[in-house]
Amino acid sequence: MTFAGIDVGARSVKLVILRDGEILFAKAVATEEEGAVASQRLIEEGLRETNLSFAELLHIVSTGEGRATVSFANTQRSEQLCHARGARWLFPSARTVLDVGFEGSRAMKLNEEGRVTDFALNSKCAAGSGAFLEAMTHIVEMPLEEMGMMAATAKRRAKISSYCAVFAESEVISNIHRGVSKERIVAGIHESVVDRLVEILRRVGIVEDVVITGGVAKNIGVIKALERNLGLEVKAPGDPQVVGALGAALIAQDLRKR
Amino acid sequence: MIVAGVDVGSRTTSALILGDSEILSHSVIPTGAESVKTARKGMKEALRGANMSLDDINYIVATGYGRVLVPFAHEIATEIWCHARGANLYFPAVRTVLDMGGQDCKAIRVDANGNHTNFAMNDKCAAGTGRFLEVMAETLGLPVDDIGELSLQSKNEARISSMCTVFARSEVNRLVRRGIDKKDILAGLHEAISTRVYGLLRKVGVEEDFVISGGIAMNIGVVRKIEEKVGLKALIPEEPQIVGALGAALIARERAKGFETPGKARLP
Repeated sequence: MTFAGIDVGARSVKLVILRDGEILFAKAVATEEEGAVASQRLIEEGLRETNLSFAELLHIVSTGEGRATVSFANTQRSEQLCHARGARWLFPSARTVLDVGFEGSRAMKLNEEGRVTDFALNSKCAAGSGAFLEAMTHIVEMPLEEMGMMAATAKRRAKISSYCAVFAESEVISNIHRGVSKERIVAGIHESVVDRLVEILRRVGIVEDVVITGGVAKNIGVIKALERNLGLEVKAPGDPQVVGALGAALIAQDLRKR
Repeated sequence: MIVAGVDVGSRTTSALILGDSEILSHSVIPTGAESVKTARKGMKEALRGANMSLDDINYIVATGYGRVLVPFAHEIATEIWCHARGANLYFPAVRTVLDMGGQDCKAIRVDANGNHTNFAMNDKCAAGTGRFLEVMAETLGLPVDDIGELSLQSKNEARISSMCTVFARSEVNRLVRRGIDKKDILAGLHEAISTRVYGLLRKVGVEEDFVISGGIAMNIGVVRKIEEKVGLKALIPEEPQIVGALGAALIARERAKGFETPGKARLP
């Protein structure tokens, strides 16, 4: 029994193929292409890698901002449902799921059975998003991962007080001009992202365990800053970027069973 | 009596010298990294224009985002107050002022005496500010002064779905890659920015006369879009960037009692 979930985000497309309850294939591809083209290319790759034919995929669920562009999907589901389902499968104790993507973040509250009972999202503003962090990499002239590592180990933090990502860019530039160390600046940037994320989390309420998903969850600096802010442990999957696609594949499986 | 107003904005600083019956001179310069230096430089330039020195000025009021950093001012006044006053001198029948600055945007209701009665403001987010347009002009590789006129030539306006500057910047890049005409992108951007400021205007309500001040008032593309939404013709001051400084100078004149000897009562 084989199922697939595909997640078309603002910056990347993710695919998970499940067979008999196990992950057979999982991949995230950064793309600038239209969702329809990128998702077609990725499903072809997935089928090739797994030696499956398209007909063997019993059900396909698409999710993400571009979910409607996936012509071969049988069903579409919201990011909230998919991230919650995927996170819960990876961490059965998850009660709060925070998905931080390139152009949006969302917090989901789950009940004991894993059903989403509330959610809050920010998709209108780059504050607290992957786009914000990416914009900052150009200013501090440092790759994203290096920036995250530096933030995670920083002793002191510069205060970035602007809410808006564009104003924060100017603030970071003036910090650099004033000679503030990169370590402090980078730590301040992560702190700012986390402040925005905590606002979203507080709107649904925070119940442990807290799981973070989405591309930004690959950033250790964000996770450490979030843990410090919340005063609790935050769980991150090994490959947080594919959790939405994983959830979509699991929902595909659920739909078939029903 | 000679008074002065200094408006230290986030992007632009203006200074203005006001005589008994006329504006004697004014200056508009970009705000540098150090507001104090910028304030001095702007004031010096305005004084030079009027052929005066600081000692000839009876009273100085500072306003704008960097107002507390103007060491030679006697007093500070809020931007809202100053813009209401300044717009009232230009257009005595003004009832609504939209001030679109470099990093903020304010919708101000004004009474017949030039006093503000209500206002709404956005200074948290670059959407609807000069900064938004600067970023977009840079992304498109166009001078920011040209984009207003260019957008009016659009025949097929592009749709920009993001208000957020960072997201809109990515959207513009995508549209450029798809080969969409820059004029059409600009028209879409002006539509987005005007939608944003219209939200602010609706909070206070718009009544005639309607005045637009600040640097963006010089962008005809944005002005037209706002006029369409509001359903009123906008009055634009001849020099939209000095309205705040003018208001500050008018307030200085009201407050100068007891300072008839120029320069003497200047604060340290």
